[in-house]
Amino acid sequence: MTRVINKNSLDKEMSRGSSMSKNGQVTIFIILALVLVGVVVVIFAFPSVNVFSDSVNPGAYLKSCIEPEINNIKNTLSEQGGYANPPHYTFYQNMKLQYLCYTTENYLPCTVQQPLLVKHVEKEMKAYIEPRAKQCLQDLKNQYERKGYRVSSGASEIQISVIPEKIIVDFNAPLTITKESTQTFQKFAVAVDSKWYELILTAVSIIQYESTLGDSETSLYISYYPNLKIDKTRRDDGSTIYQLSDVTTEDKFAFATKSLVWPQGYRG
Amino acid sequence: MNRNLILLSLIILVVSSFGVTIAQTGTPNNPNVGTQATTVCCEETNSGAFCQNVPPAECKPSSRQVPTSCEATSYCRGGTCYDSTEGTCLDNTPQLVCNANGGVWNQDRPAQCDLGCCILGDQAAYVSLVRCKRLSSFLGLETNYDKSVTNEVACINKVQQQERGACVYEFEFETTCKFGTRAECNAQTGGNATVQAGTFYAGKLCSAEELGTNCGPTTKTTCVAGKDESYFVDTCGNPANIYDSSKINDKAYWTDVKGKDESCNPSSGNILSSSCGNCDYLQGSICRNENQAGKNPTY
Repeated sequence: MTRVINKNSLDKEMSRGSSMSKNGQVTIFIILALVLVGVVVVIFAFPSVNVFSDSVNPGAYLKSCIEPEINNIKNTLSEQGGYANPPHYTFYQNMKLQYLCYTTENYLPCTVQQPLLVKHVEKEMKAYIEPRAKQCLQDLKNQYERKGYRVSSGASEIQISVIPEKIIVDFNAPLTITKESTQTFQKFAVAVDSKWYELILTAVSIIQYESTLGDSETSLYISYYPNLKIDKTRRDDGSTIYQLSDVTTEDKFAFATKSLVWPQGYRG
Repeated sequence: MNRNLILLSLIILVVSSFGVTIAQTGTPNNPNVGTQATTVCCEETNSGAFCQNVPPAECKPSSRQVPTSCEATSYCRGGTCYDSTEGTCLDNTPQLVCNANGGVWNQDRPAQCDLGCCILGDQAAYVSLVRCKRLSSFLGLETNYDKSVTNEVACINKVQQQERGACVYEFEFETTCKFGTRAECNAQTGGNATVQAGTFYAGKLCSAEELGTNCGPTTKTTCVAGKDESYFVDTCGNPANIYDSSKINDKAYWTDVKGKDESCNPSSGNILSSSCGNCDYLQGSICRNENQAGKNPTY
C-alpha cells in the first residue's frame, strides 16, 4: 500500500515536473517571440536605429528627429494664417485667424497686411524649428561619439524652403566623423511631402482679389484645381474666413480678410 | 426790387449763421452733430492692423499718426508690392508693410508685374516673367513665355491647341518613345549624349506598331496631371488613350490619339465605373488612385 502510494506520488511528482518543464518551455518561447516582435517593431518604427551595426544614418536620424517639429509648426501656422502668434486676428472655431488683408472703413477694398506670405511662413518655421534642429544635430554628434567616433563640426545654420509639393529643411552643418575611416558631410536635407506651397499661393491670389475688387470668386479656383477645396464664410462683422485644403492630403491653410464692408443694417 | 434783394440776403445770412452756430456748439446730448469724427492715418492700430484711417484713440501710442488720409502719406500710401523671389505682385499694399517684409514697393504697377502666357509642358499659367521662370525651374522645364498673350483664356487656349504625339528616339541602342508635345520632343534631345534627336509623329501613340518602338499595350492605368480622365499606360510608362475595358486588345485604340468624345460614354461622368475611365469633374467624377476611389478597373 505504502509502495503503491509512493509510486503514485512519484508518478504525480514526475508528471508535475514534466508539466512544469513544458510550461517553462512555453514561457521561454513566448518571451523569445515577444523579444523578436519587439526587435522587428523597433527596426520598422525607428529606421535610423541600426541594430545590426554601429553606424548611424545621419539623414534618416535628422529626418526622424525634426519631422514631428515640422508637422507641429505647420499645423499651427495652417490654422492661424501663417502666424505662430497672430498680431491681428479674429476668433473662428477657437482658432486665431490672422487678417492678411484688412480695412476699418466701409465700402473700401482692404489694405494688404502681409504681401510676402511664403517668405513670412518660412521665417516663422525657421524661428520655431532652429533650436530643435540644433539639438538634433547635437544628439547626432553624441550618438557618433558614444559609438567611438571622433566628431568635429563647424557652425551650423538651417534654411527652410516651402516649394511645390515639399517643405525642405536644409542643415548647413559641416560634420566630420572619424573612426577607421573619415567621412565628411557639408549639408543635410530633410524633405517632407506637403501641398502647402500651392495653398499659400492660392491665398496670395485671393488676397490680390480682395485688395483690388473687395471680394474673390472661389469657384474659379476649384474649377482649375480639382484637388483644391475652399470654404469661404462671410461673417456679420464684414470679415471673411477662408479655409483652403487639398482633398488628397491633410494639408490646409486658413486665414481671414475684411474688405468692402457694408455697414450693419444696410440692405442695398 | 433792391429792397427785396437786401431782405433776401439778410434772411440767408441769419439762417446760415444759425446753422454755423449749431454745427460748432452742438447739443448737450449729441456733441458731434454737424461734424465728422476726425480720423488719423495710423501706422499701426491698437489691434495690430497696419495703415488704417482710424480715430486717434485707436492708434497704438508708439506708432506714427498723421491727421490725414493714409493715401496722402508717404509711408502708408497704397501701391504695388513685388516679391522678387516668387515673382508675384500685390496691389493696394502700403509702402511700409511691403518694405518691412522684404518686398519692392512701387506706387504704379512696375514692368516686372506685367502678365504673359507661361507654357509649362501641357499646362499654362498667365503670370509674370519671373513667376514663369520660377514655375519652370520647379518643373525642370525651359522657360517658355509669351508676353504677347493678353488674357488668361487665350493663354489656356494656346496650350490646349498644342499638337501632341509620339516622340521616337534612340536610347542606349534601342528605339524608344515619349508621348508629349512637338516642342517637348524638340527640347528633350541634345543635352544628354546617350539620347539622339527624336522624330515627332503628331496624333500617334507610342504603342503604335508602325513606329517600331519598344513600347506596347498594357492593362495598367494612370491619372494624368491636369486631366480628369483615367488613362491606359504603355510599357514605357507613357499615357495612352482613356481607359476603356472593351478596348484593351483593340490595335486601333493603341495606335492613334482619341479625343474625349471618341472614348467610352462621353456624355456621362462615369462615376465609380470599373469599365470606363472617361471622368468629368463638372459631372462629379475625377481620376483617383484605387485606394482613394475605393474601386478598381476591371478587364
